[in-house]
Amino acid sequence: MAEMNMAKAINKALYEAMERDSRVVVLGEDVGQDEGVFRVTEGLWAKFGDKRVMDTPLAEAGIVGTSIGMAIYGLRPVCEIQFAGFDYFAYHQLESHAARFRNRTRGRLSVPMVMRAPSGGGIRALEHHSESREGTYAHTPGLKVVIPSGPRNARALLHAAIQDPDPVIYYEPKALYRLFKEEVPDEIEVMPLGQAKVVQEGKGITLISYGACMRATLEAAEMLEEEDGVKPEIIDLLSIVPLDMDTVCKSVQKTGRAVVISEEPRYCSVASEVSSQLNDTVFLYLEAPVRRVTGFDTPIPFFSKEKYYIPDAERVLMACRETLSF
Amino acid sequence: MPRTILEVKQKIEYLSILNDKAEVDKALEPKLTNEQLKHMYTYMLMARRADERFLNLQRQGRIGTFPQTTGHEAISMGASMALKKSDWHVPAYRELAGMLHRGWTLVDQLLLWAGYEQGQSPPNGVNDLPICVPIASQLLHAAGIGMAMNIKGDKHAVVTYLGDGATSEGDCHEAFNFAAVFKAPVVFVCNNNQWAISVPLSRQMGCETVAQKAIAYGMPGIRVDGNDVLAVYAAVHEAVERARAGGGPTLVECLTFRIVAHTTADDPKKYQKEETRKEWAAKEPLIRFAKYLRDKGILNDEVQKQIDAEIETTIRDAIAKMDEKIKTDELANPLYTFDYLYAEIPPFLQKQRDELAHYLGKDKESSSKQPNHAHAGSH
Amino acid sequence: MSTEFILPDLGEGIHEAEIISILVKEGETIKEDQPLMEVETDKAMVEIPSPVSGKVEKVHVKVGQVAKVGMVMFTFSGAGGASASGASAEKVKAKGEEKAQPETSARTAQAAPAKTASISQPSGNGKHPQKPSDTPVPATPATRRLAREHGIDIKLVNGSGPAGRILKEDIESFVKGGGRSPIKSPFGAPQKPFGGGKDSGPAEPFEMQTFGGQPVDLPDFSKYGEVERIPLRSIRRKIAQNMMQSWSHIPHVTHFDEADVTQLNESIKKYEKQVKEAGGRLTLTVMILKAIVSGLRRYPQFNSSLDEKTGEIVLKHYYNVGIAVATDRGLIVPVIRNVEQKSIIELAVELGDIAKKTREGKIELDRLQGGTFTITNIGAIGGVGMVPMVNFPEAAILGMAKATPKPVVRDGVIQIRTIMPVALSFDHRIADGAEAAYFVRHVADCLEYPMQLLLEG
Repeated sequence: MAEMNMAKAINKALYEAMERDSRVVVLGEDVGQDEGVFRVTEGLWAKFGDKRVMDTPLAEAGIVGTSIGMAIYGLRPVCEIQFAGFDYFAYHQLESHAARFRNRTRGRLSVPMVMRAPSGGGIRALEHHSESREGTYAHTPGLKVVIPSGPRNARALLHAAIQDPDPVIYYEPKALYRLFKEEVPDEIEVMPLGQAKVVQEGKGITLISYGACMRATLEAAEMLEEEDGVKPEIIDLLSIVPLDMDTVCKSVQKTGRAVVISEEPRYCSVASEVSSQLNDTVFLYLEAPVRRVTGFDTPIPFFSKEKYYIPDAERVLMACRETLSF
Repeated sequence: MPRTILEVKQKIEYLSILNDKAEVDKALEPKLTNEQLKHMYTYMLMARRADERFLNLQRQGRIGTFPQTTGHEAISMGASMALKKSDWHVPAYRELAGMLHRGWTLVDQLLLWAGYEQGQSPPNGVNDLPICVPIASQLLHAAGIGMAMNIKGDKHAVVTYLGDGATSEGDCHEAFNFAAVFKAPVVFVCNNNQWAISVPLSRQMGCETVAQKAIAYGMPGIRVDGNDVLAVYAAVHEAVERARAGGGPTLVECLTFRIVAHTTADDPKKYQKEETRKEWAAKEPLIRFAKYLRDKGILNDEVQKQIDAEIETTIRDAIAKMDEKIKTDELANPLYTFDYLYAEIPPFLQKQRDELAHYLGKDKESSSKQPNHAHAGSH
Repeated sequence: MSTEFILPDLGEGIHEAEIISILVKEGETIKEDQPLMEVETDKAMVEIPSPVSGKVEKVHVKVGQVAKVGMVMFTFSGAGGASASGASAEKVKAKGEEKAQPETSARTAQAAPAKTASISQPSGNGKHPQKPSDTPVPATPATRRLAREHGIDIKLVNGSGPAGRILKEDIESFVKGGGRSPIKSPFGAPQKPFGGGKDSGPAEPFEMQTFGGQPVDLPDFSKYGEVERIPLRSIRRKIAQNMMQSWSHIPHVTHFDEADVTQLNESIKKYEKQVKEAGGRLTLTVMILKAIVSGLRRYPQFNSSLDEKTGEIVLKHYYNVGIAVATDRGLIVPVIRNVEQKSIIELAVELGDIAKKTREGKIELDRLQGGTFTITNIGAIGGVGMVPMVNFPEAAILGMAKATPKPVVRDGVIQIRTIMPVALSFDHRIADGAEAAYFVRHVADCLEYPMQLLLEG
């Protein structure tokens, strides 16, 4: 059992996966000698060498497209896109091919690969370095989408993603890389994809979030309990696709109220999907409309104003109160 | 500090072995057995006849839109002949002759054009990717496969295809570059038929040849007569040998002309000159290859008759088989739409499957799942 | 066997094609793949080959015609088995049909019930034939579920939440009351003082309508002992509002009288078995209904409303009598329509039915509406009389107290008779005391001499 931050935990998972499965290869920009711009691939190049840890040319479609080929050939590529804001350069490869090979060939060919990318804002970065576009991938049939919220689940989910027989988008909330440390067990943990976690049991309202927004959510929950005497139920989605709506619905059926918190733009977002599915399933149990606390439908502002865009505890708290008093 | 010259040490070769008058350069003639030559001719002709027949099927509404391959047979035939079974074949979509040689069937092709995914499922034991429609995007898969071969230490090669239009795509550049940087054993075979639907070659590139682009990537490039199956074979064979030996990728430009429409939904009369097409039609690959084979004593009227009969039967059987197959539950049942997206159907998708089953009044069937390997063609 | 060839989609999403030339004639024998015609689409000029071998029986199109995809182009005869590909023209056609059919049938199957539903809704053969309105009422889904679980049409429930929203408490007290909507009631408090549940949240600020002025400030009662403040909710609130409306709009006058029902009671005893067999219960109230209608026919002003806006008295030529029914939740007034057209047995059956349904909370909304006169009978509880309040906007209400044996003087002799005190409250704007006295007397006479009713039919 060792205490580590999320960057280290992801690094640990990569190291462990490469060590136990020779098919696992890592490729991307600056992932080798430089060990990644966030140092997530630390020590990999030194340990596993040039063949399995590849610094690639600066080309996102090339990174993802060749990963598809490698996966079809029998490797388990884990490619890194340096920032999620650049993965659109490779989107056509994911949408047109990674997500479709199994379907197109009726199960004969498959693409077991992982695309990792640091996503989200909050680190005072340049434009194009703070986006949260998990909704885009969630909207793409054939992909799986995973977003951890802390060191321990980051490691366990990455193991699951690498072992998964289908392409997985693994978004790393970069604001969390070094925000806090957690005990991570020595033995390898694998957290199945498609399972949400009830982080706190509670009453009267359910807060649903994932990734970096879990921080604001937990903080708001504390304030809500302290100031209003309401202890909310809190769910960390962890997997965006497949979405564990069973867990979410079970909770909301119990509490009757829900607030969904995420950093992405609201339109056609994961938050919208959760809200919509709650309507489909637990409509008759709702005491108030499902609220979405999200980024706005503008590009995330340059960093001087990003804090107004990214949901914070106060914004979550306000939504909770309005939902509770509806 | 005067301006100086940096010499780029590369030249582009042009290769022609069997010219349009069916004259052969004996010195360059590749070492192919009579059997192999006859096989090549048969498959090229089969692709041609199938193409013609498919057009009728499309006009009759029995299959949908498809891209014709008439006049392009030499390229995929020559290139795929240079491969071993353990090598990989990554087509674009005008490689019917080569695909048939690799083990795909006309039933696969028909099913694909009739709108069934089963037609894209590679035959068992064939290291191929299926046809790829988004231009140039599969070149990266070929590069990736090549990179993976290097990582695993496998001495195989990959042949992939692109059109002249594809050279404008970013993915083409990235694939050339990745393959060159990682010395991936990939042969990029460019089917330069001078037209991307209605846009001529001059609108795709400002340079003279596709082959010369190879220089910039640091790989060998060669232009060959794309209607000369011997030249294509020879060039690709050489490239494949080099690739297997660790020499990295090659770009082989095969110059030809699209003497048919882009697809069945296209009418080239709108943008092509009739004379040019006729001129090129006279140079198409089968005429000269047949003459070459006759000169060599491999082909005569009787053999031709046998080949014709064999092809006719194959095509007729394939059409009948398609008609039969599309009526089977495996192909007709819309519920199977959901079953191959993920290795295991996730709950949300199962719900949607149930929804469709309910709409179709097939609620009972909803839980059934197709066997994972549902290849449609039989071999 | 003849088969048809239909124009296929020749490109990607082509819908029509112009016929440029027809290359075969009727009667001509053709082979599979032989060119049939040349057509031009938006995208290309193409030749259409025959899918079959056989004889051209009919050419359905002409040169120059624009044919739509799916149109029959040719009919062939003798086509089929001989076809080189093994695919006959029937298949070509069948394929087209296959495409269309499952879709159509599935759609129809889906659409049919929906259509029926949309027709049946307005015509009202459902449980609640006439909805208060077609627009939804405000309520959270959770409240709707509660209503659904209790089998209640939520539209019948009055909302006490923000902007009239129906709350869970409204549903709960609605159910407890076994009744329906808080209908304007002429009565005071029912047994349970307030409808609000114990777990109810803070009530909306409620401004009581008062006689020309502000609500009155109350002294601080808690100075003198412990008090509890219970919000006025739902039906209780509605009753309060209705009473205020009646009280403030109608200048009430009440006239008292007594009816001797000795003979009537005997008659009731005599016939109650017969009525019971018909599924009803013969009671004084049933007889009173008949008596009332007789009285209203003579004194129509008591079956009217005053239109304050136009200054007119609205006389109603139908007799819908409301009967106040006490429920746990408050007073509810179901209405028997067209009493004048119904026999005593019919009325007995209907009265039993509506009283039961009202207590169970199953009464249909339209049976709570359209009253022209109201009766209220507190006889079952007791008392010697009451002053009922008019059910606004009606003109009058008749109250009955308990019928008890009393010593009375008849023809100078003291006799024991069963006497029922009655009281008529009425709108003094419409009628005067004398008319009221005549009206009540007539009703009482009808009860004393039921023969009177028979004469009237």
